[in-house]
Amino acid sequence: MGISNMDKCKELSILYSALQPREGEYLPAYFYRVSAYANWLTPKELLSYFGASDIGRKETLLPYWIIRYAYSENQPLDEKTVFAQHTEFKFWQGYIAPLRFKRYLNSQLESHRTGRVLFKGESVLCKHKVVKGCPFCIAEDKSKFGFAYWRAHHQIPTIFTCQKHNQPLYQRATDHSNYSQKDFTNLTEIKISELHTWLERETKALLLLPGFDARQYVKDAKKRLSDTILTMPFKTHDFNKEWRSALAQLLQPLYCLSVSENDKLASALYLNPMNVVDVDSEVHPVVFLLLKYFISRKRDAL
Amino acid sequence: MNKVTYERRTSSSVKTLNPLITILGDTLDFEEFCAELACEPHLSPDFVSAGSIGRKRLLEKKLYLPNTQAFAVYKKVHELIQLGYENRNPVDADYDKYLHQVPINTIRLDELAAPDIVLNSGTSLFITGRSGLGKSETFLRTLPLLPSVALQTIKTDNRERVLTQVVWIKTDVHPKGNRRSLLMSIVQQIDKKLGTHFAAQLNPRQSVAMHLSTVTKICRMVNLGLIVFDESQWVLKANASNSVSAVTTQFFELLFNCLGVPLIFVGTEEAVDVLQMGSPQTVRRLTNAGHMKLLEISREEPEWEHLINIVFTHYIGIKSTKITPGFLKEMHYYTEGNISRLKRMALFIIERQEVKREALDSNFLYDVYKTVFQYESDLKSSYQKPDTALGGKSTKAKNVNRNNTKPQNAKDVSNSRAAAMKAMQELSKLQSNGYF
Repeated sequence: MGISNMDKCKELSILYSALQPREGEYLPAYFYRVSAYANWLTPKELLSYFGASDIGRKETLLPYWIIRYAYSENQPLDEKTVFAQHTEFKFWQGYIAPLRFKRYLNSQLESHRTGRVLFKGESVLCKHKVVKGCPFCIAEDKSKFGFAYWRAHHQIPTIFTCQKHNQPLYQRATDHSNYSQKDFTNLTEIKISELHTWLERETKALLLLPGFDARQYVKDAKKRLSDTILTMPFKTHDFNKEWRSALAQLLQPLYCLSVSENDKLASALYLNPMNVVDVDSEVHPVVFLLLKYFISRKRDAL
Repeated sequence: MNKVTYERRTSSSVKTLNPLITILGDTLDFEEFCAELACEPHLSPDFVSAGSIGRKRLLEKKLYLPNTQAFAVYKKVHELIQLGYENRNPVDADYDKYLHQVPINTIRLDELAAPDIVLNSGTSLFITGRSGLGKSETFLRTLPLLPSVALQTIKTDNRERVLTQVVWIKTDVHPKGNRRSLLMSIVQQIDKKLGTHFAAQLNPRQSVAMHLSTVTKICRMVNLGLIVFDESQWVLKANASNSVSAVTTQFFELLFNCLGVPLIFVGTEEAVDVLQMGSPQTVRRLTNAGHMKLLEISREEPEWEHLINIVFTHYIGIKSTKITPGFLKEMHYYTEGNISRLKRMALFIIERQEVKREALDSNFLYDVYKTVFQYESDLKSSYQKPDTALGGKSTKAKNVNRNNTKPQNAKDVSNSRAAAMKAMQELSKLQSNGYF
């Protein structure tokens, strides 16, 4: 005779207490670690402890189950710490209006909708996500804890060096579910280019800011960029065309994709530059940053 | 359930306090140990009014006099649990290492790493002794002196987690049990203590290797401190035919390596014979923390006189003046200093006295002895009455197989057969003389 989820609470409580997330551990990877450890339980059974029914859509920045986890009383951290330390929240918090984010959380918590996304282009970019790790952190973790863990900070799409060791990260394409210990061995070093350095510098400035300031910083940046576009001595049509082809080239070093896949991704992500810089539009931060880089290079060329 | 809160110490120079060890407390000294465990119902005022049935019940089920051997076992158990927890301090990073380094599915014995794969947490001890010496009872009574289950609140890296600690479990090896049932019994014992349902999650369709991996993880998650395997004499010598499912010495070796929990194997002396037939590596691993041999009470020990005094004056009701050195010797001769045998004889005497009061002379005792132990193969001959037998050198009681377990070699077989034949002849003689 099987046992109900209610009866499993005690076992799950013992499991999650023993295997708590490490400091800064990326939450999807943590869940993968717990799931691999407790391989006698299904993911559904494991998530039931936090009130989530299943893993839901993977191609989002903040999946439904992570929100349930953050607000669950069965884990020791408050939701702000969960978002800030265990997801890429700090990276994208400035790009979304607080009210809109609150509405998103409420709709996820109350109506159990799993299809929603926060930003335009989020689904395609998350689908082609790369996993990144620092070989020095991996070696240190393995000797200290007996296993290595994926850090949330390294998973930010525009971070390419380890903040602790100041060394380039290693990366690998993922189907967004591979975070096993085996996967640490199959990474290749990121060749740090000028684009990488620029993106990382921009991102780090934003990461240091608290929520309200980050929002203001992004607003100001979008406004400045909008003004710059308007003052550019190009025809709109030509400028848009140029941006379209530049987008594919700029995405190439960031994602481990074949040429055709990269082109597909670029066309899926393409948006009119004025839409990207619109203060009220919620475009994925990577697209905005790439446009900013593209314009800064154009301006330098003039 | 004990609830204790611990925090990481700030000073790195001080060795971090291990809450899993602290919960054990200090060991009791011998006096405290005796005071905790001694069960002497005859000292209770109600004992006088207990009838013969009541006295028999109290003698069989309640009377317990702790001795130095039980104390040595208690000390060793305490030490072993402490040793096991030494390298798994939840306040340190090593704890995570212990949790995650679980040897899994594809493990092969010849590929096993040295036992220190789990940071020396899996130390093991063999405790042997003849049947009826009170080995199991010693564990049943001494283990509850240690805390059983505790909840520990650990604060590390500004986080708090509540860890469950099961200090010890005791399970039996069954003569016809297999590996799966043994693993299941470990989890069932954990479930019994915690009120969990881990056993229901062991899928019977999965392989033994998968079960072992799951059981290992469960044991580590609940911070299990010790497993006592009673009746270890039922473990078989590993061979080609039983290498898949039977509980063999090799499987115990695998358990030792995988679980990372101290193990105590309790069994009769046959368990040692089986163990010695294994490889030196098996012997080394399974007796990692040593081998303790429990012995019968010696005739000269004051403990024996004390025990006989209590049993015969309080439970059987003879005068203390009747307990002479000769009587003590006689009883020792029949019972061989074995508490279980003494209790069996005493119970039968109480039963006989109910029908007809008889003097407890040598003939009576011999008669009781013959009746109580009539099916035992090494029945003492009627021609070697205690008085003569105790004087001779050759009649000293031998340690022979008393557990209906199979003898280990051809010589033993012929000896035990000869003894059985002799006993049968004596029995028929006694019957013809009208003893029964």
